[in-house]
Amino acid sequence: MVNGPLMKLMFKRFAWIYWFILAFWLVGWGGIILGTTADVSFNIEKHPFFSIGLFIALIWGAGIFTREFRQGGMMEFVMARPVSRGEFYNTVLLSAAIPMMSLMFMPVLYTITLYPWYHYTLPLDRQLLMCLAAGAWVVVILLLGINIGLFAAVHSRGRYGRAVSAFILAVLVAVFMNISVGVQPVPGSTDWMSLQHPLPALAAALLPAALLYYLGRRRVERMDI
Amino acid sequence: MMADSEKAVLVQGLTKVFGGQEVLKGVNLEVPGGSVFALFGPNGAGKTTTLKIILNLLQPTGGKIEVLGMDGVARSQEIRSKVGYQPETPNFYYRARVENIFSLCRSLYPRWNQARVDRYCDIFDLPVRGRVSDLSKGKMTLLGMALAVGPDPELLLLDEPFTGLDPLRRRQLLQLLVEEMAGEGRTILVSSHQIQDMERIADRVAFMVRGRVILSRTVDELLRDEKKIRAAFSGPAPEGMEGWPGVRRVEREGSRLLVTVSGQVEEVAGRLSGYDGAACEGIDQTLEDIFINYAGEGLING
Repeated sequence: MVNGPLMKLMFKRFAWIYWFILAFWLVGWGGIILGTTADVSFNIEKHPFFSIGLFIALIWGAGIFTREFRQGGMMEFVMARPVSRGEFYNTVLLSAAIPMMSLMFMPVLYTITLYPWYHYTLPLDRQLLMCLAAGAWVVVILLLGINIGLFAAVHSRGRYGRAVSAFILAVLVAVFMNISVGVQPVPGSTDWMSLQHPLPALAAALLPAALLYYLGRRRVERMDI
Repeated sequence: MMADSEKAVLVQGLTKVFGGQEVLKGVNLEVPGGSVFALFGPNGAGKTTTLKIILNLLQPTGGKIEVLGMDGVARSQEIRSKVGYQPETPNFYYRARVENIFSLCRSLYPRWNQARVDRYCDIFDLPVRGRVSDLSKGKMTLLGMALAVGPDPELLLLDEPFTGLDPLRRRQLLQLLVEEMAGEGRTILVSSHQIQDMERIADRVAFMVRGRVILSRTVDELLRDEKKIRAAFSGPAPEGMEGWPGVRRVEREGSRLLVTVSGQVEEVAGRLSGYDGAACEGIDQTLEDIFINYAGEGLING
């Protein structure tokens, strides 16, 4: 369950992300229109939204609860009201997942709005499925980041928790950087899977998503605030 | 509202361990419905931890908590809809406007008394359209108080509610607490270091030292039973008075003795008068004196 009033507040707090996405799209769109005059085909595979999304999801996910919990003290403010911990977790998660998904659907937005000038290389339904699969994997990484952040926030030995979390984050960022060095996705990676086999990639994301959701929620429900 | 005979808060054998350190060591607390209950203790005694566990912000390690007749852990969300809480350090979304914070809280609670909140804002001169980040420490405290009374709570939990307040505001706040909240039969549980202020409004007090409640009684009983006796003797002073029933401490003031007595004031005074050339004078104690006696002993004895 999601808490409506809290969701409204979270949307307000994250308004800057939506403005960022809008600005990103407008600048990219204008750049493409102004930069080329020839009839060019639009290749969705060459736009590294997935890699960008993974980076943002990991870093943002790791900080989202920690910031509420430690720095702002807002978790205490909200949890002193009649809001369940499950509701709080779901609301924060959803408010972070929606902009991430929006970012993943940017290629589709580009192809639709650039249609009069460019041809896209893949049918639109295939693109939508690819973006959905990519979005699902970005949410998995967001959940992974949340779990890492919660581990660091509530670990009884704070320095140990933060050190372990920083190490895991660094390794994951290094892996993502390695994957995203080439423009073309590495065969076998989730990026490649999302592009080549979107439906199995989407299905494969559900299990880790469910597991990480459960672990994060359990942690929030049992943590001291 | 609860009947006086009902317990608004019942805590039994409450323990809490943080990182291997036992912060609460079997706290027992009974807060009668409709009372103003003050919780006193030195820094680090476990007052804030106890209040947070009552609200289920912290998970208890052991023990039983009942709030407004409901299980404090299993039904915490329902409990929080009937409890107003002012934390020691108020935390808000600092970039939000005060009115947005009110709006959020109004939509979170099943009941919200906006008329009362507006009146508190007027009394406290809270800038409703201002940003939270622009408020002074005292105004933050007052905003926390306005938010705590907003849901018309059956139980008001106040953790250091006078932090950063000048004497005028403190007096205003005390008056509002007594006239409105206590007058309407709401239960108030306050943790504070402002013992003199609390003495004016509290019905009952509990002293906490090092994770334990060492005393819990009504204020009237405490002020009646806890006295000092100043005694002068023309002959030799009695020996071994520390062992007398009711005697808590004996201090020397030159040739005179200052005896701190608990409970058996008449008996001790009578016994002292029996000594050769004894002159005794009873001295009333303030709640602060009594607290310092008990808390000081508790800290020394561990």
